[in-house]
This record gives sequence, structure tokens and C-alpha cells, in this order.
Amino acid sequence: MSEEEHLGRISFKSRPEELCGVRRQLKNLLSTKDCQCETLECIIIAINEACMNVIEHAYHGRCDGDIVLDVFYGDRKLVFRLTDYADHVDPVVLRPKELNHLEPGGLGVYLLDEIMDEMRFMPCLHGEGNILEMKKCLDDNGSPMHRGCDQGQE
Amino acid sequence: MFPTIEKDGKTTICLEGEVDLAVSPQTRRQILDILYTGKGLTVQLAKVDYIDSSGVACLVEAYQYARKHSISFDLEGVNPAVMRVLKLAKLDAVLPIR
Repeated sequence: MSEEEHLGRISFKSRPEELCGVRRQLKNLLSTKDCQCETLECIIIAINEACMNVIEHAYHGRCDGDIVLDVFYGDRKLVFRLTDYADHVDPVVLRPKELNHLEPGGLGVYLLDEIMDEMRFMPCLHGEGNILEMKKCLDDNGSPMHRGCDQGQE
Repeated sequence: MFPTIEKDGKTTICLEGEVDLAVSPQTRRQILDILYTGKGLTVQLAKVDYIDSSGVACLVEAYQYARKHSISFDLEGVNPAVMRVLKLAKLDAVLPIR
């Protein structure tokens, strides 16, 4: 198994106003990996949704919580680890519901599941909070190997 | 508040920039307040650079309300950034896009 290269860390507070800056920083980090534009945009959509879930469902709208996003690359996979220090979240929240197109709720997890290839909660070494790990497989051209992003193409 | 245009008894709201969790609660309120007047509504999306699930949820809720109350409602100027999210959510064939 090849080693993971740590592309960078983005730290921010659990405020919706932070998300715009997180998306920009993530775009800068990923632009070093020659991701196809469509892939890059889809990944940003997915990570934004994961961050929103932390703000809304882990910190329940509290604005002073810490959130850390680490980005790794290795074995032709982008790996994202999103850490928070809120109460433990039931992993069942990651199970996408059957999307009823006329119901707004549940859309974020649905998008996350559509775009990412793997998602799981990791054990927390710091004893509190949650670490959500998400993986996206890329081919040699920086295109997604499995699913998700091709649906968004024009 | 996003700018609105009134014409022929119908309102157009012109969303712009990044419609994400930071602005979607106010956006939802503004859109629903227009629909509560009973006027038809067009949501102009040409200048939207980014929309997340909370922004899309506003559009879905508005469409549901309009449909239930027989109010005209549609989306206009859906650009590639918005269409990407609607397609991923499989809403491109559900929401009224013109």
C-alpha cells in the first residue's frame, strides 16, 4: 500500500459563514492534483455538504465549535478526514434515504453518497467528537473511477 | 435580500453569488414571502456561482408550495454550476426549468 501524501489541513469554526472560505481553500489544495474540473467541483460539493452536516447535526448550530479538514492523496485516491469535537453522531445519519424528489430533507447525505466512493466514521483518538473519512478514487487522468461526478456533467 | 422585478403581476427574484447555508435561511424566507402573496414567481439563477443542498431545498419547498396553491413557479437561467447540483440530486427533471 502506498503512503498517503498530506496535501493540507483546513481549520475553521462551525459557522455557516466559514463554508465559502473552506470551499476556496479546498479548491486551491486540490488544484495541485490535476483533478478534472468536473471532479473537483463535485468533490467540493460533497465536502461542503459534510461540513454542513457537522455544523447542523453535530454542533446543532453552535458557532464556536472547531472543525478540521485534512486532505490526503495516495494510491490514486483522495482521502478527506473531517474532525469535529462535538457529541458522538450516530453513524446511521450517513445512510442515504430513498430520495423523494419533493422532500427537501436528506438531500445533503444523498449528494455526499452519490459523489464519494467510500465513507465511514473512524475511531476518535481524542476521545470526543467524530472523524468522518471520505474517499474518492481517481484514474490517471484525474477523472472519477466509479460514479457520481459524471452525472453532473453538461 | 436579493433584488426582485415585478412585471405583469409576476415577480422575478434574481439570486446571485453563493447560495449556501449562510444565506439560504433568508433566501427561503424571501421566496416564501413572495409566494404567500399569491403572485407567480420566477427564480433567476444565471448569476448563482454555487448552490448547496440548503439552497436547493429552498427551491424544492417553494415549488411544493406553489404547486399546492396553484401558483405559477419556475426556474430561469439555470447555469452549469446550478445544473450540476440539480442533476446530482436528480431534480433536473422534477423542478420546472425554462
